[in-house]
Amino acid sequence: MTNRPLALCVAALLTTLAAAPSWAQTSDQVSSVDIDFNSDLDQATSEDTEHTYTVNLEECLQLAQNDTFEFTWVFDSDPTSDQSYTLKVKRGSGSCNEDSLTSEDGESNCSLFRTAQNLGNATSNSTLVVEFSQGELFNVSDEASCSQLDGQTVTLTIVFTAFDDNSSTDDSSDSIDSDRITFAFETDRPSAPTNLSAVAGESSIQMGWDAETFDVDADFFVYVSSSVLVEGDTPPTGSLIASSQITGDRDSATITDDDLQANQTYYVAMTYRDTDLNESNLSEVVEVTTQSVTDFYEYYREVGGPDQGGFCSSAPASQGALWLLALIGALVLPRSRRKGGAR
Amino acid sequence: MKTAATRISLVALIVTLVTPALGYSDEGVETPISGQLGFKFGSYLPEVDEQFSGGTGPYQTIFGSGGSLYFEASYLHYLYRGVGALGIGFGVGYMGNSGKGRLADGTESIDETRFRMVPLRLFVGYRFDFLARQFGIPLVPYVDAGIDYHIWWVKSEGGVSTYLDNDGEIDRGAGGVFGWHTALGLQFLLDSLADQMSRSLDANTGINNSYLFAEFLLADVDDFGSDESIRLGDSAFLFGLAFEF
Repeated sequence: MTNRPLALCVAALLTTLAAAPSWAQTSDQVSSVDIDFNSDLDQATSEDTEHTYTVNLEECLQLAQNDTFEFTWVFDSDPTSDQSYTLKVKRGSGSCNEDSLTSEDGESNCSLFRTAQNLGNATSNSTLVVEFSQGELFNVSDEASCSQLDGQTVTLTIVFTAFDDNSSTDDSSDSIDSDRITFAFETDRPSAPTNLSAVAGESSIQMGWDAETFDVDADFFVYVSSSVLVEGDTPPTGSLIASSQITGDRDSATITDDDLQANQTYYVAMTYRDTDLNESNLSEVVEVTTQSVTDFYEYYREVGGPDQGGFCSSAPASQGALWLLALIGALVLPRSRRKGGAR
Repeated sequence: MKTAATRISLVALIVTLVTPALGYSDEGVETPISGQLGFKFGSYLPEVDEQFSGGTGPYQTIFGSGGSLYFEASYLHYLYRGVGALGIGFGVGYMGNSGKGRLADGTESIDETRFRMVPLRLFVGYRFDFLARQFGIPLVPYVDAGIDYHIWWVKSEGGVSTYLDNDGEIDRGAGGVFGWHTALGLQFLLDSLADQMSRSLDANTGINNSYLFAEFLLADVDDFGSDESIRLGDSAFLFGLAFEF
């Protein structure tokens, strides 16, 4: 099963102060700003200052863990020592807007989610890693709390300010950038497939289900286990004989796996994964018993076919054929070399 | 319908008969000819079941009574060119068939079982192209005959099939069988339809002549009558395209 990169929901913001919003006061220092949640994930960049990401259940559960985001800013030219920098992060909407966050007076009216000031001596490419404790970012800790956010949105406003210390009383010399990220939560598990049926061969299980009510762009998964599976459980991740994403036909599939043994009982269940990549819980569970199957060669032998296989037949005539081939080769090859290119 | 086809055939024959001996009309330009490469296909049904008397044999039971698509590539190297062309050649073919295994009660299982066969042929061939070369008749009858070795195997989901025989030994469902074959065919010289194109093809690629052909193949592949071998021969009509260069 593939996971949609978490970066899809919180990748990066790329703006230039030259193209900063109209409320930006100056743009003589910082040329670009990147924000990258979970820096080990793929990073997307954008010139926009408004970003909306859909967060599915799996991603929400990841965000519920200890998390970080990495904030990087790049300067047009080498910064001077009389600069200081501040990063402010606000969560949620309300009366506190970007303008509030960019003035010292307005800041007092804002309930800041996170702020970092006096970030130290700047280099030409500076990075700040902001850590979140478990659940701090979205106040989620488990599937239940993620499910409660289904259909809701949460907005983070991030403001970066470069202050000119020599004119701290003059706000017009400050360099400011702001971006807003809106997370739209789609965290409900869809319904599982119904009317499951299964027929077993020796190393194959043929599945059928009712697929009419499901999105044509979504996926189905089949889970096969020698241990009991329970309807309504979350999809298992271990101790499986086989698991497979269904491609092709949308209402039937044949699972073939060498690990399936003849005359063994297996438990088979399915899930459905919607277009938000939320996977359902397990469907009803079908119990099947594999059977011994006779393939063509076995059947050929069982009904009296004599050939025991092998590439060196002991039949005298075959030995003769080998000698004949050798003789033809001996006679023809020398002549062929002499006559090469004849027409 | 049949009458129309006959008329078309007659017209085609007349047109080709009055056409000069294409491909041979400009001896100074034509590149040397050393052999012929052919690609052919047809329906092939191995005679596995002929070993079994009465009722439906195992091959038909599993794979049905129809033949399977068969491909072969062959090369004939000319050793003599005079009144026709005589040469020695080799060919490699491929045929595959898939069916369903059987459960203990004889009913069809969902598990697939596959039969594959790769015929290897070493043969002597003769092409009577004298009339085409001398009189421009674009038809070339030919015959070839030779020794065959057919490699075969049966696969199921677990890999190559195995069978525990009465001696307690495990036999693998894969092997090779010797035999012989002969083929009788007729080639139609395509150059007669597009003289300039054939000259250009010769100049650019060295292909002197191109042919459409049909042949009747008779293959007897059972280790020369051995009772211990699977029978993989067949009588089949094959069709194809050949290039002389």
